[in-house]
Amino acid sequence: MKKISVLMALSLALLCVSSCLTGGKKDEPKFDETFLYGKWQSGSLFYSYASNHTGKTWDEADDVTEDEAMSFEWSLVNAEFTHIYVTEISASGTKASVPKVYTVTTLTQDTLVYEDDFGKVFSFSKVK
Amino acid sequence: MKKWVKVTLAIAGSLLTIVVLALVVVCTVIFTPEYITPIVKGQLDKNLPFKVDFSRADLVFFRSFPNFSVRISDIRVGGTDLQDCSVGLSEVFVDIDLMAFLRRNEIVLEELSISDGKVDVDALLALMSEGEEVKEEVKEELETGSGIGELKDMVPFDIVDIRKVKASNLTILYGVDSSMRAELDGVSLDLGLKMDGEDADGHLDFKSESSRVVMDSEVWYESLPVAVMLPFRFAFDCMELGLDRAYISAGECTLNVDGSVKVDNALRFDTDLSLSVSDCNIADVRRILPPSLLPLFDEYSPEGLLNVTLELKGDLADEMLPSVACELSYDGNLWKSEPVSLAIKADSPDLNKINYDLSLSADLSLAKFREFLPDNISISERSRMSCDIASCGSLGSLEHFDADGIRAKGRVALSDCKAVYCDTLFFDTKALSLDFDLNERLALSVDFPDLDVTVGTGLYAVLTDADVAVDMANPLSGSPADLKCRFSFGGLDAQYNDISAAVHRPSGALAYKEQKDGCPTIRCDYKSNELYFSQDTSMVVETGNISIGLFSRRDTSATTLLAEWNPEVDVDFKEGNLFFSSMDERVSIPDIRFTYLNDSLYLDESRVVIGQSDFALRGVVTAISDYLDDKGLLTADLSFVSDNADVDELLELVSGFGTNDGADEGIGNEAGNGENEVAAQMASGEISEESEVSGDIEENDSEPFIVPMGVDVNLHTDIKRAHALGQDIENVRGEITVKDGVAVVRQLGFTSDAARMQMTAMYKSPRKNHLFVGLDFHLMEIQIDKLIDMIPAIDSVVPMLKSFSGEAEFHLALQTNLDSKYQPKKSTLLGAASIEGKDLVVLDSETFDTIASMLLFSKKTVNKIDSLEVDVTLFRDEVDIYPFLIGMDNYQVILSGRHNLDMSFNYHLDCLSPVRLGLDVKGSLGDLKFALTPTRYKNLFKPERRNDIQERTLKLMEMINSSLKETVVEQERPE
Repeated sequence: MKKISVLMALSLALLCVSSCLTGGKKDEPKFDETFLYGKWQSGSLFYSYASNHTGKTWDEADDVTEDEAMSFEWSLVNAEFTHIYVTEISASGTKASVPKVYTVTTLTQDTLVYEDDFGKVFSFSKVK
Repeated sequence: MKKWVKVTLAIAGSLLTIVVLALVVVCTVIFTPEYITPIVKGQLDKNLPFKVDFSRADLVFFRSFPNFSVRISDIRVGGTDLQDCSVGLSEVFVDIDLMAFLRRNEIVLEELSISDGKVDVDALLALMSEGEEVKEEVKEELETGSGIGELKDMVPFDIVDIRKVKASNLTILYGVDSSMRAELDGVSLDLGLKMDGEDADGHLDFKSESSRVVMDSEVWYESLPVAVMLPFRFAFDCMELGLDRAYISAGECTLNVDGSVKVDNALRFDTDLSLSVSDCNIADVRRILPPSLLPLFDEYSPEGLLNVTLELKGDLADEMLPSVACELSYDGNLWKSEPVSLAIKADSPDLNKINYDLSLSADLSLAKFREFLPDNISISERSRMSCDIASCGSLGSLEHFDADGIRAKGRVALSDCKAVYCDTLFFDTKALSLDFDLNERLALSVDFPDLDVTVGTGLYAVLTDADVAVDMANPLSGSPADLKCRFSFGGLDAQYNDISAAVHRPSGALAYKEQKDGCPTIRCDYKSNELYFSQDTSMVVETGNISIGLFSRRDTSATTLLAEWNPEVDVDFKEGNLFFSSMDERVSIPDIRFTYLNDSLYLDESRVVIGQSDFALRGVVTAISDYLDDKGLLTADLSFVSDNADVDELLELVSGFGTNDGADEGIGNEAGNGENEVAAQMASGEISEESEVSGDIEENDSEPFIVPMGVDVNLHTDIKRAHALGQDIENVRGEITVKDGVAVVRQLGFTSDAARMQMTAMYKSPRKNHLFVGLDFHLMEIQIDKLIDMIPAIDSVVPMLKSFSGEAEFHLALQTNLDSKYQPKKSTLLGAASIEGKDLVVLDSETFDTIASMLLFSKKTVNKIDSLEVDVTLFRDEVDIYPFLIGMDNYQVILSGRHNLDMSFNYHLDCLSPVRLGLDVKGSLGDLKFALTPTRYKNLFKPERRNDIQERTLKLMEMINSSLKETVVEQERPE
């Protein structure tokens, strides 16, 4: 009985370790970044992602056109979706950076959903 | 009486009686008409080339006592009828000194008297042509040149003394072809000739009571008395004719002639003649003018006396003309002149060798010459002109306007002159004088004390105290243009519709010279004491002293106007004031001095005062021609030094400079959209018509600042006190760049009451409703309360700041697009900020006491936070506050979270001591929700224990913080 108990304890520990490992992989899903390429829309808000990891965003509700869009660099590592915006102006040549980090939850050819650390969810549809 | 006397008288009387009786017998018995007539007829037929008929010839003694006379009656030549004959005379007396003929073989013609008849010269000449032999002989001798020298040999007597030839009551007819016919009535002639050896003296007195001349069937003169008085002497040895006090008169006009004419064998006449007309009334001249000229006097009525003298000296031959000196004066109703002298000297008939010398002085009433002027010019009654002109040269040069042969010098003066041209150009001057000197160069000088010029009802100008001098290459010479002009005026006042201009004492010089390569150079200098210019009430320009210097050399190979003339300009003016209705403030320019050279404008000195701003600009503006030709940007590198500068006002001044139609169109379209929106709102009832009329439209009309286009301006600023965005700041130093629609304020360092600041800013205005502003702003040593006053928006970004007081350091990078009303477009907001503070005091002591009580602070705890270091990012409406540590008493708390611009928030607090716990605070003010959570950042500041999220967060914080602080540029602290 004691041996059985030890075995069950080891099995449970192993299971826990195993589940932890597999669970870790489940927390960091991978997405195909090529699905990102193109223009995405959520209402009047647009994002555009290029294969060279640059992007643009604009909101037509503010009378901003695509040519006048704000540029950024993006990266997608597993589900960590990072946008880094850089201000246009600098006195010394070094420009201020504004990073935004999201976690992608859905990325298909037609749908992009991600959320930030504060639980704010962003959902976009691909513009054909 | 003694006896011998009586005897002598008796003998003499007897002898005289015998002689008289003998003569009577001779005349009446021996030389009866029947005896004399055939003799005379025979002699006439023998000696005259035409046949002469007469009724009788008889001797007359007592008429010509003591000489004998032959009287020939009823003479007819060329016919028997008085009307048809060539010559018809009732009587001819020939009085011959018989004793001279008998004793000395001399014919002394005491008197040849002709009376009552007519002479048709044409017909008589025709009859004479019948005497071929005589005519041919005389002609041959004349042609061989020997005739004149041997003329006296033709006279068959040694001495001929024609003492008197008289004619009375004759009619003389003369005609040339059928074009001209003259008829002289009541002709009387008195000719005396006395020959003495080689000399002959005589006189000719000719009068016609009435003359009539017909030219081409047009009666030129009628009933015109003509007289010729010709006392003369003739020397046969030198063939010289001398005239003394001779005259020729027609009507009341008399031409006096004195002098001599000598002729040599080569038929060259050596003249020395003086002709004059004295006090000849112009009205009398009219009588002797051809009818074709009389219409002139129908319109013009000259009156007065004319004096003319003409001196002819020199040889007259085929290739030679005598020199002529003419002097003319007129004193009448048209003008009064000093004698006008004209001298002409000719070496040959070639006009180029005929020289003239003219001197003219006159004083005339221009009003009298109205008729000579075009109909569209009218002159006032009092307008006068005087002139004093001298000119010399050759007639050939005058004919061809050849500069080398013409010299002229003189002065023309106008007084009380008022003239109107085409009822639109009015000209009025009290006095104006023009001096000229045409030599190898032409010099002109114009002076007048005042000149009023009016053009229509629009332009009115008054010039005073003018002194203009021009020296130029003779325009007739064809040589390259070379002009120098010097001018000065007492003043100029002008009005053109709603434009007024006034200049006080303008003066200067102008030089224009054409170089050998055909490219001219221009040099101009201008000065004036005061200048005033205004247009309606929209613009007023005033200046004090102005000095402008210009030099230009034309380059015809250049393709643009500016490059073609490439001017060098020096401008210096003082005490300038400008007012534009579009500007609220007057612009004062106490002093400005600049030079334009080689496509660049060098501002050597300038001081400008605009409203509350005063500044001095120095530097250079380049690439002007490229800018004007739309080939490039107008570049400028200027220093802007100011004691006081109202930046908002100055920006308003340059807003929209250089924007093109396209940009305006874009702006216009947006304005149109705005109007459409307003119309839609009105239709939906959202706004009333009243609001549209009053406020809203006015707001729409306000224009945002549009950055100048087409320029690349770099301003090095040094401003002691500036007012911008409602803030007073001091010691502003840095660079401002405006380049083709983008304005950048670079590393602008300044201080205010609150802080030492450094700012780099960018402003773009690609279109009216899409402006861009970017700030790289650093506040060092700033008081937090002042920071919030200066940037109220910071309270929205970091709300807890207002709870602290003390000195902090603030770094901000922020950019956004704005709409036309400067409202930020939230979707474009992007920024990062960093705030660092030490020894900060919690402002509200009650709050501190409450916190201290709740958290069981030690009694020794002071109201102070050791340090505060916050990094913040702004993206659209999200303000992310990265974790920062606050320590007070025994408590250490890490605070982070998000603050939205709608004032909702989501904060997380990690309490590190005295107990570890996490707390989420969500919601909005008045609706807070608290929840205990695990700690997130407890190991953030412990490198060895950080997890991935903490590591990432720290990297992001370092990225933000370092990128912000690296933009700070060390600057000298202002004293």
